Amino acid sequence: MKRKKKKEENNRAGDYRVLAAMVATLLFLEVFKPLGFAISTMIYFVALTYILEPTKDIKVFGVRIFQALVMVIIIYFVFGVALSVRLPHGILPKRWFY
Amino acid sequence: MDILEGLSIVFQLNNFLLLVFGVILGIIVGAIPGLTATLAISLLLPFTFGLEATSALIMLIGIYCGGIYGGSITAILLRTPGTPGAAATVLDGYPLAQNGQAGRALGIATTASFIGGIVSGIFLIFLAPTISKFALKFSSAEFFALAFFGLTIIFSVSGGSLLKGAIAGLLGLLVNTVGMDPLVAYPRFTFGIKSLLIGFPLLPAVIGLFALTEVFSLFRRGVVDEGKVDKKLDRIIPRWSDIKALKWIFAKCSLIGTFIGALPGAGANIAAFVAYSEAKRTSKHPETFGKGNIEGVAASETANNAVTGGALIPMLTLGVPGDAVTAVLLGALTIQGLQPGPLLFSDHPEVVNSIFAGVLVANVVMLITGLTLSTLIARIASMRKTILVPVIAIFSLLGAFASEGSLIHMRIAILFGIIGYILERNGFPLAPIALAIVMGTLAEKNFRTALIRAEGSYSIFFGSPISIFFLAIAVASIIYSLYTQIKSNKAKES
Repeated sequence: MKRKKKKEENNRAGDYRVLAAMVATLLFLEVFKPLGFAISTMIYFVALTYILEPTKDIKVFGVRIFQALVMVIIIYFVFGVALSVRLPHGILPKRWFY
Repeated sequence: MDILEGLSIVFQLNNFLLLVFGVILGIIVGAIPGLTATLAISLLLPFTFGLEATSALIMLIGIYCGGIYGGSITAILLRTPGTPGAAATVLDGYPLAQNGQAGRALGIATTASFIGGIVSGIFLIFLAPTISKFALKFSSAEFFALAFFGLTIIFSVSGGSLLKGAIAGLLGLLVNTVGMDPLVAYPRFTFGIKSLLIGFPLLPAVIGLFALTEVFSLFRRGVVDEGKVDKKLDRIIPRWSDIKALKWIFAKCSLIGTFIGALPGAGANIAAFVAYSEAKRTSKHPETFGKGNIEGVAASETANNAVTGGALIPMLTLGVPGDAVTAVLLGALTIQGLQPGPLLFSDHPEVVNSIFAGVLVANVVMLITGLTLSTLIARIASMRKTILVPVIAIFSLLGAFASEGSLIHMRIAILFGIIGYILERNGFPLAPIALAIVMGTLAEKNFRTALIRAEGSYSIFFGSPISIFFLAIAVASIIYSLYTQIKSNKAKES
């Protein structure tokens, strides 16, 4: 009985995580152009890691922001430089990217 | 068929590096439980735009071969098959690892995968050109019959429920009708939205269906501890005595895997289990199967990798994909502006030769990588998913954006991702949707062309033995699927 209840709770938590991830993805789509790829990708990355593994530890949060920054740099080189994709710069100065 | 031409293309520095990259990425992705070769290929599709067709396909073939093999590493070391094809490997691989023979099991799994891949590659090289020459005689009626047969594969890849598979397949066909009519260029189901005039492009659809759906599923599962890999392993390089003792298993299971791979709808998991039970049936010690018999590892790994070459035979020669991975590979060919099927052999022999050579060289690279880096790969694969899942999500979305630099493609990918997740959560398989999207245009175009040629008479579809043959096996395939479904339902009830 207890196991069944725990399983149901896990299922519900899983569904909430999916819903949150979907909402985050739709929001990412909406802010991708206005905010630019760099800021929106950083926020999206941190949001997804938080949905997957919520934390209140400020150190962990700092590490994730650093990981998001590394991610943005990788994305810029992979998509922006190697594949020559015009990634939206958004509110950041254009000269930073091109 | 000039395989030397293919080898010279594959061994050009950039192509070779792409192949090595593809194989290593495929092994890593294949080794990560929950991620498949289909996801890896879908994610890398946007990167193939800037590459030549041969280079792109060489890289994707590397991912395909590596992805199927990669599943065995975590199956042996962590009791978690990275891919469905490695499920049979767990049965004996993990008990061997528990008995302190993880290195031996990994070595035999790698060697078996190599032998299976090479044997199926040789079959591909010798059989595919003959089949393609035969297929050159096809007219629109025969092509429709072939495409119709291809669509009936939907029933074979439906998994538990035929009805759900059929619904998913019909959804794929419906998606395919959006956009310009392929014959008279009349807009269909666009509802006045200009961006829908080109229909739902394949790339974002595939990324959404296979990458984003997987991302959402991983969110549902949450962060699970997959276990840790023991740093100390016994010798991985297989002993000659083991290889000698297993030679008949390698030979037999390579043939089983190639044959099952060439059958549309039957994938690596079926091949592995059929080979495993065949090895058990003919073994001198069947009682030790499931308790750590190396023959079990050799059988399942030989067969699941032999599927790769086998599955490429109908895909390349007839343009009929047998499963989700080959459907995405077929999509990659069309994205490159190539039409899979018999004309590919006459119009682009260099592409065909480089695919053939790519299969052989990818298996050699896989052997070397597997024997030297498998513990490292297992450690990477068992890392926590907190970073990996967001990375896949971001690369999927930006991959969809990169193809045209348009937000519409991102929207389409998200739409397909959400729909795919909802469908999968409710037991609907996704492979039929991809198959229907890929095969739908071929079926519709040839159906209507044939009817125009015959002035509206349906008798044209029964006018040639080839057409009748394909229609007959399509009907047989449906009846067989219905029969097995009814049988399994009855077994469940009793």
